[in-house]
Amino acid sequence: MSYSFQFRDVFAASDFLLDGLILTLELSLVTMIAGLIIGMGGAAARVYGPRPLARAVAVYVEAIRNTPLIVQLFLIFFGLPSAGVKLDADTAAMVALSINLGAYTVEIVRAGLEAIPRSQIEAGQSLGLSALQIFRYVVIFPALRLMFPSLASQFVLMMLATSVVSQISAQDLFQAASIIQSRTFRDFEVYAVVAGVYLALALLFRLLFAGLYHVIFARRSR
Amino acid sequence: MAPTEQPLVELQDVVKRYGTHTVLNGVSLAVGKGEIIAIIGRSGSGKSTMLRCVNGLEPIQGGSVRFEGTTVNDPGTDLRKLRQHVGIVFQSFNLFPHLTVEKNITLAPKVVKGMAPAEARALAGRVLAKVGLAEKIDAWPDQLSGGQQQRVAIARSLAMQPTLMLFDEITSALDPELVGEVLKTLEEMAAEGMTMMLVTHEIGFARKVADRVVFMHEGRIWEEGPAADTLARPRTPELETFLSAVLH
Repeated sequence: MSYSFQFRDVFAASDFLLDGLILTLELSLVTMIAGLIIGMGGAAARVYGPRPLARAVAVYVEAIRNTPLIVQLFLIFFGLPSAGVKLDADTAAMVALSINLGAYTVEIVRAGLEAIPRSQIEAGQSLGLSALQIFRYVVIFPALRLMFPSLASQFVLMMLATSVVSQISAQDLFQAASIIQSRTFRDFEVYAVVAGVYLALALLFRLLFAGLYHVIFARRSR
Repeated sequence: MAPTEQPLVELQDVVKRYGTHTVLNGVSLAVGKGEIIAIIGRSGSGKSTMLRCVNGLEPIQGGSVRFEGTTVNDPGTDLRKLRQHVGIVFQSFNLFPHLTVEKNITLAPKVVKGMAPAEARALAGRVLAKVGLAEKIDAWPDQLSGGQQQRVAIARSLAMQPTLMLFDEITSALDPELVGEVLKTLEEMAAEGMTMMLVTHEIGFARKVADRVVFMHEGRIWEEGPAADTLARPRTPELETFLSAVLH
């Protein structure tokens, strides 16, 4: 059992990998931002909203968290055109990933919001603040601090999960790897390199989040 | 000070239930402008609940609560507006931990009243001076002792220039040696003529500062009257038992 590694062909296609990497990064960033917006709005609706709205959000969250991401992706890319909505692969990927991450984020944000003691909200009410002002000035900052670690973790998972978009032929990092593999037949080398890139990316994101946490929350009191 | 013309606060037959448990069972009380009312009683007697009905933190199931002629429990009442005139200080301070002392105090004046930042900071300085903490304006809540945090909470309420102040067992969570500084602040507010309703276990303080004492028992006002007299000569065995237990 001897195998001689030969990376030359893989590195020769590094431009290709770089393009893939850029799409993976784009998808990750867009998804994180959209996921955060969906998550905050959804969680606020779930915790403070009128019952029908809270229910609707709950249904969305459970539906997404209990079905595979790849099925959601296929529904949007292959299913929606039957209903007259045709999205290109990159757009479909962004939409599917955002909807997916949004659902997980709702649950994380909800836990954060619910961890804020009722007495903090009462203090805000007693000062004449509106519900929105209480959310904005009293609740969200301490809640974000509490939920930040889980959020960061979920975001890194999502970055890794973006690799499923290769299944609808979006040209991400993993799709680039598959193409290089089919040209060079250097399976081991290609996937080892790509694994290394994902690993580096994940570590980089974790580092960024840790830095962000430090900048935003370090000097503020508990 | 005797109540003049229309009372500032008027509770009439207030009933409050949690499910089948009745916390307030027909409570009526009128508080005149400038009056200081001490509310005493065992835990579970409904005193905190009654206080929280006054600024609408607790919805009620029967009777009415009026403040300056506005019915607090009317669904059409703008509670936000009402609460700008009714300050409340809680047992556990409830300062905002992510904001400095200054920001804790200036938040409501800025976002509710639209006060300019410089003006709000000056206001924070003034109310902090009142509670003897002018030098703590840039501190964070967790850098302060419990007594200091509670005085900041009082300053935060005062910054809204309320007509009425509610105090919900504000010394109960404090170490004994810190109680005095908070009570002193209350006394100074009393001397300035602030209308105050305070739920308290500090009987000595109630005797000294309050105009009237209200003794709550089983969700009702069991006994009330001028502070010194009521505390010295309880008319009901329940108050007598209570006083001998807490003064022991």
